[in-house]
Amino acid sequence: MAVVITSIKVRSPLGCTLEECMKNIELGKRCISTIENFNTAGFQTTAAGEIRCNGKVVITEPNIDRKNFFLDQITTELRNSTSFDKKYNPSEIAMNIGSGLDYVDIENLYKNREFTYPKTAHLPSHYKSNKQITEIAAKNNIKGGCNVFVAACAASTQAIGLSYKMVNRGIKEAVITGGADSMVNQINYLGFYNLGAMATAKEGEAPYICKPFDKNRSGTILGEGAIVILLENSKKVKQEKIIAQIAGYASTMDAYAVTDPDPSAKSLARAISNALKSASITPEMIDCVHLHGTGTYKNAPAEYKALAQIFKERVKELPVYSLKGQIGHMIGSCGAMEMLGVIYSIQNQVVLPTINFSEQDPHAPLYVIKEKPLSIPINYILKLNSSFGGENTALIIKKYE
Amino acid sequence: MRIIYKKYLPKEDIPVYDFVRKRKLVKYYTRDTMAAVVCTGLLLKGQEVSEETPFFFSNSESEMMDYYRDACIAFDQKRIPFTTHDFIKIAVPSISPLSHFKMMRNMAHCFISIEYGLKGDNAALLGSASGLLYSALLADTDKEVYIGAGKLHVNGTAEAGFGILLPYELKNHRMLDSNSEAINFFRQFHNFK
Repeated sequence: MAVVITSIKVRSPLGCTLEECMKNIELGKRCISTIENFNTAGFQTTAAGEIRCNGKVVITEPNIDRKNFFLDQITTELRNSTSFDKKYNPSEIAMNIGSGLDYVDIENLYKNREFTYPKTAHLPSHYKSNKQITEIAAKNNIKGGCNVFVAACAASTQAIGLSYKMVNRGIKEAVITGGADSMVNQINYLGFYNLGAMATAKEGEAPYICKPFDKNRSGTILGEGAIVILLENSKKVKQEKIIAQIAGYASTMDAYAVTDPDPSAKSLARAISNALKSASITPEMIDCVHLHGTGTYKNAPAEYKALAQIFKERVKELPVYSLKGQIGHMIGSCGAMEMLGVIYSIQNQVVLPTINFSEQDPHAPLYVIKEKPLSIPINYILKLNSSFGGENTALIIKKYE
Repeated sequence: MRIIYKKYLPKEDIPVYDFVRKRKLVKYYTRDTMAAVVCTGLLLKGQEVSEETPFFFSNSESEMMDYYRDACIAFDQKRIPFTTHDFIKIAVPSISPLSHFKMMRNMAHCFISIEYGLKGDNAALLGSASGLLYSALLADTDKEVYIGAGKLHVNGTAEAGFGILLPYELKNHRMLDSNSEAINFFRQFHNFK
């Protein structure tokens, strides 16, 4: 038995269908631009990766919590296209989703002086992540528990991790997992800016630029997106439906500092080591690594040190990749969204170039692919994410055969 | 299975300083984090804590109005018509930078992990008992697991719980598929004074 991905629905800066997203990943399209969904007058930085359909930013009213608005859409799409609730007993299906900060509609907050919903809100609940996601699960006949993960940038991979364990151990027949987050609203965007992690580098026509692993990286850029992934037992699905296999998972904690990664990267290395054990494979079997790659100063050296502890000398020739230069940092949904890059690599047997990367950092001398894709046989991919707060996750994804 | 649960009324003092070594971090704590740190301290008192012990923590939905109340008052004082742009410009700077940390939902998990050097399997969740209990049941160990939960009410009442258990003790637990808040598990099953 294997835990397999059989369907994906998505809203992201890359597009609103899996096909559109894959096409734009292949093109290396930079989907970050000046924010259109709210007025950025007076803001120091104005760039983000906003959700687009056919290239156009999807604009919503201020009373809409975008992360759950899009999650609602794609969960319904997933149910309609797969009939998961007819195939399985609804109590044998769980929903595990990575999420982020609560949305605040400023005008409504100010006028009502309470954190409540306007009558026109899309979902009949407060702007509360757990409440909304539980409603989305109920609406889609998911009755085997609804669990919201909130470990910031590791939230959605922790959600995928528990989902993997649930199916792998036969606890649930199917799990709808993934993540939905949008910090692209005034309050949360400004709050993130105040943490000092936002990119300040500019290049050409780009308003600001996220340069994962690059010597001249200056920070990250926020993105937004929602993605749901259907995980099932391989023995209960048609083989042609299988997109990829989740083969292993582990999570560790830095317990070092609130804001910074542990510079020794020992806990992150242990997450990799535990995930390899969970997949019953050795480091030599990993063909490439899709890193967290935020474009911040401290992230790249920590990831390099973790890889060096596990892969030793091979770290110099182990191809790595980050999708964040294209779509931005989606915080609570980033790891799940970056599974699109992982699946692209598995399906096309290539490691893609990390866009905006040009000069290697001597403190993080990773083998980052530049300019054109690297074609290699790919059976196993290691996917890493680490959070503001210290949670680390490592997923092993396998080409299903 | 040993489970502790504590509830602190709105103005009640939470003796958090009796249970922390990293006192500088307390300024980032919300009241439910303080309560969770107290529960953890009481239950782990005299225990040898292995850094490998898995630790899972679930927050509840919290009322964030407190963070923005000062911003609304700051804007009122300007006596100008409301626009989102003016509110952002005038009022938002009055929100304390500490609040940004308090809004993040994984902070209680992070602070307790730092305090006790917990580096093992983990997850930070929001809401349901189901996610917390499944995480513990399916933890990467057959040894002890720590679980915790916190809830901050609109009026400032803080609740928290902490538990030490073995994963198999949760097998077939009646709250495994429950979407009720994780704090309910501690309210119902606490057995440690």
